[in-house]
Amino acid sequence: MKKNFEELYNDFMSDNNDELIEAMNQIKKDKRKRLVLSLSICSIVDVFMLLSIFTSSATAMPVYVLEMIMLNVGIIIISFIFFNKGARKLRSIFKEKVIGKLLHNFYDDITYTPNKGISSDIYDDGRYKESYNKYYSDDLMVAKVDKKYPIKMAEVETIKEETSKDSDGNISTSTYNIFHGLFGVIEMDKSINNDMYIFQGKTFFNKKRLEMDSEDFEKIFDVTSKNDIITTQLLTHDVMAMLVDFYNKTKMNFDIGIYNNKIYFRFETGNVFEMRSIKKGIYDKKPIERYFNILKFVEGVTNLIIKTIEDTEV
Amino acid sequence: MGSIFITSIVIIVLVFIAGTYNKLIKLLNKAKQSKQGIDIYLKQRFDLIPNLVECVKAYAKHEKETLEKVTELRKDYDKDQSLKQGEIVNNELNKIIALAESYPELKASENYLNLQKNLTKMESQLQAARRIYNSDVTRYNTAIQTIPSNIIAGLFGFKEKELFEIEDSQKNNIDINI
Repeated sequence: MKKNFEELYNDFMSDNNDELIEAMNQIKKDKRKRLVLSLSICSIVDVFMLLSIFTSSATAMPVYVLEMIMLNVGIIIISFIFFNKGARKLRSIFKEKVIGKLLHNFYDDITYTPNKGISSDIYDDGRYKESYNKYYSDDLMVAKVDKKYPIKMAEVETIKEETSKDSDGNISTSTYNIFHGLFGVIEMDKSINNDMYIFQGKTFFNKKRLEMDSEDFEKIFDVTSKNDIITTQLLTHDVMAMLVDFYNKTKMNFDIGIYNNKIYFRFETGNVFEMRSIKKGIYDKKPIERYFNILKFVEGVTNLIIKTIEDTEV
Repeated sequence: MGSIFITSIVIIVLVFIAGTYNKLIKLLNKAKQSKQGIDIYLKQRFDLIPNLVECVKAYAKHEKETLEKVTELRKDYDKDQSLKQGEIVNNELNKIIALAESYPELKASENYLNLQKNLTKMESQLQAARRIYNSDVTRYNTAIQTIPSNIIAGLFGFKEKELFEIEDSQKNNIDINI
């Protein structure tokens, strides 16, 4: 039985919080350690730097002052990297206690591995017509939809990095975020014997698009397919209305590709399943509610598509 | 100077007429193509009528009249392949499928089940084809009714096309339960 957000949130709050208290204490310890260590090292460094400043010429003085500031900042950053155990622990508790539970609410037979991702080969099978040269993925979830169909889902980020040389020979690198969000694939028993792709049209005029009989849907989405009849069979008014409704509520870009027996989906959620702020702790309601709604929609729309495919003779 | 201006205006008008005319022709052809799509699915579906009649006859002897009616309507459709006639036959065909509910032996027959599966598949495809047709016809009709393409449509005699509408009595019979 799937729980609504409030029920789930109450479950989170009534959980055994020993681990959480331990992590919070660790964060306080880290803070103290960071403060003591960075103050001591900075003081020693600053004393040496001040001695150098006083013995140096007036022209070299600004350089020394700049160096001193940079060293101090560096020491503080390093202390944050080394004394971060509590925050790391808190993040891991968040993934286990919050995200794990959210995912369990929607899927069966679930294995959630926060530090593992989905392979780029699987992502490329989604046939996205975009080029990238950096690929990152984590928060891998492997589960089953309705105890039947395997689903793999993870956060994915693809980046295009371009290096250019100007007329003076200076090399500069530009990075473009191609996609950052939730990507997933569901494998069904039944094939639709067709390839179809629903996406938010980025071009004003797309000759290859299939014209659908819903004005609202057409305003937002483009559909391309090999077989228009099968695509129209599957894109029922219910399915179209659900996609339009979600887009209107969230204004989030997403696309769905169905290639024979596989459903690929992407939602441009940006950073997902992460704890927003250590200060607010792991039970910060707003981001959790957002993740819940994303998962609810993903589950809702994929289930509706699966049911339509199951019910349709193609 | 004046002649250049007039020539430019004439060229612009001619380009507009040609462009709009071509657009209307494209929309009209698309609607015709969609209509052919419906015809193909109807034909495929109606080709199964003799098999269905034979199959039902064996189990439902009291339904002779209905079976004869559908066969006659099928013949009429060969003469008048209009959307309306097609739908009359299709509706009658769906009635025969619905008959199976009253004949358990027929419902259990393997031959009938295969036929029913194919007919259901075709009905689903037919509904999709109708939606595509209606979508294309709406686009065409909108083009010939709106300014400025309505001027060209009037000039070249483009006529509004009829949308496919399912009558309420037919709607009830279209749902087929396996």
